[in-house]
Amino acid sequence: MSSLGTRLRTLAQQSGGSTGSVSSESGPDRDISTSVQQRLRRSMRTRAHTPAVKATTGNDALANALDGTLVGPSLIRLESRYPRIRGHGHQSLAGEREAAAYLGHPHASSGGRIVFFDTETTGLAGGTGTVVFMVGLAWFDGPDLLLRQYLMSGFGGEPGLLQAVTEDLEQAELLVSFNGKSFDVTQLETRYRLASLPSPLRRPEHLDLLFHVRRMFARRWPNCRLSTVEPMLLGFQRHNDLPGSMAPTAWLNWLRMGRTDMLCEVAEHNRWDLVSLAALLPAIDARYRGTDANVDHSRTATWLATVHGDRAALEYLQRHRDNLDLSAQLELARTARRIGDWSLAVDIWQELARQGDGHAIEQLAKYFEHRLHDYRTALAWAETLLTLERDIEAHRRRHRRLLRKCASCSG
Amino acid sequence: MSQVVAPAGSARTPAHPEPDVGGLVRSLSKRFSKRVTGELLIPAQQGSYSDLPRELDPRLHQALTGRGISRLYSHQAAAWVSVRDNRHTVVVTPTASGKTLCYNLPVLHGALQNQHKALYLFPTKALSQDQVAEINELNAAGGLGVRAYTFDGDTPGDARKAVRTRGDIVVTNPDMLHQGILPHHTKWAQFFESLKYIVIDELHTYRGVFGSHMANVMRRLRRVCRFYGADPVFISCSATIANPEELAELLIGNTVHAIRENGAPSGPKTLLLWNPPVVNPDLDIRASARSQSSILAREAVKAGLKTIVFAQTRLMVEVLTKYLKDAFDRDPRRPARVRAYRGGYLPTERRETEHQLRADQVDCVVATSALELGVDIGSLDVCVLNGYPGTIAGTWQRLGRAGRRNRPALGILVASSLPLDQYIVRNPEFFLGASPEHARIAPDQLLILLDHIRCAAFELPFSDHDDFGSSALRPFLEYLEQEQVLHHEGGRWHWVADSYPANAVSLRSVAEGNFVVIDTTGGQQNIIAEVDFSSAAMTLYEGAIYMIQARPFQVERLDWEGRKAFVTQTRADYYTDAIDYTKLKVLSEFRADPSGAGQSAQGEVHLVLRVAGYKKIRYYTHENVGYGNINLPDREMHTTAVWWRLEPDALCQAFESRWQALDGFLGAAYAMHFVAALLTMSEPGDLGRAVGNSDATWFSHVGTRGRGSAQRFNGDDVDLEQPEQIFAPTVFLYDNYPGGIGLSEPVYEMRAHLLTRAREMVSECRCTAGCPACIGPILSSDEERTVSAKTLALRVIDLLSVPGSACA
Repeated sequence: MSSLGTRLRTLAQQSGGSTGSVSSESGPDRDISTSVQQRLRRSMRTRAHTPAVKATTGNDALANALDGTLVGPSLIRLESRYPRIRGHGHQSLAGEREAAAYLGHPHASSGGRIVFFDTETTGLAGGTGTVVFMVGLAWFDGPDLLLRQYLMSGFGGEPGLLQAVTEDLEQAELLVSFNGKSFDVTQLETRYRLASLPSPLRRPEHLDLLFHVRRMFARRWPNCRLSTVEPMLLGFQRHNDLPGSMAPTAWLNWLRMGRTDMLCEVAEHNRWDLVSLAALLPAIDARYRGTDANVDHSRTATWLATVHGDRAALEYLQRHRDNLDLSAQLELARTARRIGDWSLAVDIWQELARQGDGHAIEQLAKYFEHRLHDYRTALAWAETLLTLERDIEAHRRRHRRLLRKCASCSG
Repeated sequence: MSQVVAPAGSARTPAHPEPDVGGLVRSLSKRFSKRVTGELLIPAQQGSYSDLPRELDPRLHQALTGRGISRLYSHQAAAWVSVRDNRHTVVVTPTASGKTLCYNLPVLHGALQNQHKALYLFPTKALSQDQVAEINELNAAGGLGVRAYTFDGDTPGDARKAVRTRGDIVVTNPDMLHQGILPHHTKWAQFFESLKYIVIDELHTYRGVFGSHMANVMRRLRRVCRFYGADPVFISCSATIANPEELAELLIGNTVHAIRENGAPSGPKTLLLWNPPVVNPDLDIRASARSQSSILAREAVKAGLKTIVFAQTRLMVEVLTKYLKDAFDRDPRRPARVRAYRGGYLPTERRETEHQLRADQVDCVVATSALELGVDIGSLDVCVLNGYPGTIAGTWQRLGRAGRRNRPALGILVASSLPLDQYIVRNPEFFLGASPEHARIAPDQLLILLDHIRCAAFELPFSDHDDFGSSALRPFLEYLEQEQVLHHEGGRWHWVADSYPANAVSLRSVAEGNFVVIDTTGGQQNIIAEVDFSSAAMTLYEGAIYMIQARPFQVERLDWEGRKAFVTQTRADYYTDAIDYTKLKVLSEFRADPSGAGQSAQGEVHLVLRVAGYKKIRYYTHENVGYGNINLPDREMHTTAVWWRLEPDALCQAFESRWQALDGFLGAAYAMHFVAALLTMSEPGDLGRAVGNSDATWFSHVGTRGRGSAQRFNGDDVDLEQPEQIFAPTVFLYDNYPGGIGLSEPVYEMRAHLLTRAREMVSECRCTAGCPACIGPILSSDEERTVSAKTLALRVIDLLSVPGSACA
């Protein structure tokens, strides 16, 4: 440390700072010897940290502690198997191909490898300074889910890690992640770019389950974090899990002090993430096809209509008919109208109109005016609407128009 | 900056009759001959031309001729040759000399012929937008298909990818490069791989703190370019300063070829130096610059001349706008003839004013330096400067706003009562000859350097053999390793912290976070302005009158943490001005030297700034109509300073009382501050001034209670005549930036010269007892004192200059 102080002091002299000719006159704080380092600390308002303890544990010891294999310089591979039949929480591990196909990736049913994918990084800040120190990959292999994790035990392991991931992804048809589109893939691509290696993440399709969870539950749950999703959708509760936010600390503790304990927990955490991904895929699929009352039905139906057509949306909403909130009922009426089932649409609108819903009343006014040309009934609805929402110009215009139309019919 | 190239041999005829600038000059000189201290005539200049380069891409050739450009000014041709030879180039020419083409030509040629990419850096977003519009006009004229995009905070997320991957020319600002591009350079890999040109316009604006940051951003940029195997050529443009080459070389870290011969023609220009009349001959008090500027602008507008008035502060912009609106915009049914333009207005409002100026819909605009830069506002006839802008280069640049497009023009520099202004208007020769001003930057300033080493380490790991700037890198890396930010392994320093360092480094000011001003009149919530952090305490305190287009708003509530000020419209007939206090504590002395009967030293200080209260000042009469208290957090910083103090014995002998000595120190500090700013070619705001006890128990200021009150930082008065009270008054001139930006060193080096010049300034002033032009404003009651403040100030300066002189 003393050489640092000396160097920084030299630096200060070079930049025209202290030459050491301190006057003897008394003054405040005169006895403080000001190294530039002190100046830095004062200006930055930081206290001196205790110097880093150099890592004393070797890579072999870490590999042992993790029950992994050293497969390259500073690169440890962890491999384990998770039997399908164990299930996960109350969710069975099955039907991933059909699920992936239903969630918008039809090629996945044809036999290419579906790879579940999750990384651990030195931070969430993004940019070139965030290091991906662990990559977890998993795919079904016979009766098991095969979990393969790569861990850099130092920066020297990064090229090997990137290369290994590239090889493992060669057969991948589809990547499945949770928030991987905006985070894991972006971060890992940055690492490939910095290492001047081509990215293997571009070729396979990518299914980010977060988008589906958000669609179904963003308006139902306080958040859509995986730790929230697991108990709600999988009936799975982690115990003694190291929070993902501790991953950076864990790796740094290893790097600086040779501590292996927290890294073991990170590896464990990452494995559960992978298993949860594998279970979430069929779990989400089941929500689209099933009768879960907690789902945000209107947004789910909108997506179904886009991807699988109006009939699929209609079926979904019919299945949940007793549990639809206002916006889902309107969505059902809209879908019914689109496929020409006017009587269903009108039924819903009338029911909602009785409850005083302006949007439904407006639909009825339109329906009677333009579809049935029943101007008197339409006028009645238009009048009801005006009493409800007086200041909307479109309502007034409709009212005036219908008055005219009624007058000319009866006249 | 708009490109104005006259077709060969033919002067462009103005659409409307030539405005009679000469008539106004004659009339003013005749009626106010005593106020005009100097009249400079800058004759019209003939253009000097060259043919379009033979090797120019034919499509570009066609686009240029399509826009009426069939030949180049000589400096444009010189820039072409220099850039073609892969030399880093700086073009030094005045406003409106067609400098844009100096870089657009090689850049467009490179894009068309070799798919070369270019990065343009402008100091502000507004300039970026102008630039893209201009390239696109050229694009359209020749069907060039070159893609130029702006990339800044306003670029929508979904458009960013297109900019990164498809842009041939990306126009951005240093802040965005620093926070948005470099830390994500891998996303820009394609762009960097083909990057051939980096354009830095308005080079002279990168000085002081901003420039020192900029130099480091350029170091980072070059580092990232090297990573992608790119070695771009820098093309920069600067206004006329003394050391453009040196500045460019410091900024880009390489040798630079300068082009100084301006080939653009210009119309004749008159510059009047204007000193407001003396209204109190005894005190040598002059009428305010404000009143004179207002009169001059009224005369010019009445003569049918388009006029711009530059004011130093946002407050002054608003006050002057009000006065001029009172004269010209009395009828609310007619469109406004007078507009204000300053930083802090919302972009839409500024764009609207720019548009109205170009469309000739406004007769007069009152602006801060926000319009000094190359925003295209069309041609103006008269430019009134309310107060000396602080530098000759800044003066010329503002004056360049008048007389674009070959028309005769008039500039009037109205001096305020500040010493620098008075000095400048009494010495017209300052405006002749070469620019005396050196733009200074300190890229290796400790904290700035550390900030950027941090950012650079985030962007790409440093290796043991790397360097960054001229300082030894390793101690910084070791420091950052101790801070647990970096990890040293295998000869490389890897970033390991969970943070994004660029977000914590602002290139322009110290603290983060602009304040928004929210109008809550009538129960609504409209954002009407933004105020940067550093000026928030001085302008948005509760009770402040905040003005926008001369409409007064009163600040009802200030949410300091949330960075919001809630205001309502008001009809107040006064404006408010904040009162601030400074407290300085010496932390360490780097060096010291006897100075007369005392001592002068340079070292590190801890500084606390407190905004304590405000004055209410009535319009037109400028009388004080009240005070208010302000309760805001203090601003603290560590910086470097130079200070002077006298031995206690010398003090005792020279002054009858401690109060007298204190008055002398306050007056001397005032004069020394302005001389120091002049000698270091910095703006007075870059240097701070304080007078206080050396042990920081009390500080003194010229406040609301007259001269020389000494107070503790809590506002309590100190009775200096108590014998047990330690009395060691000290003049501090400090570098007004955390860590210092390299100003205190030259001030210390010039300490002897500084005292000599300060003495001249005070003794040669024609006032009898002291005035704002020498030792600062004094109260009329001071006139009756036995010894004037001026005499006391001279005594302090003498004591500091020559040992024992006061006894003689």
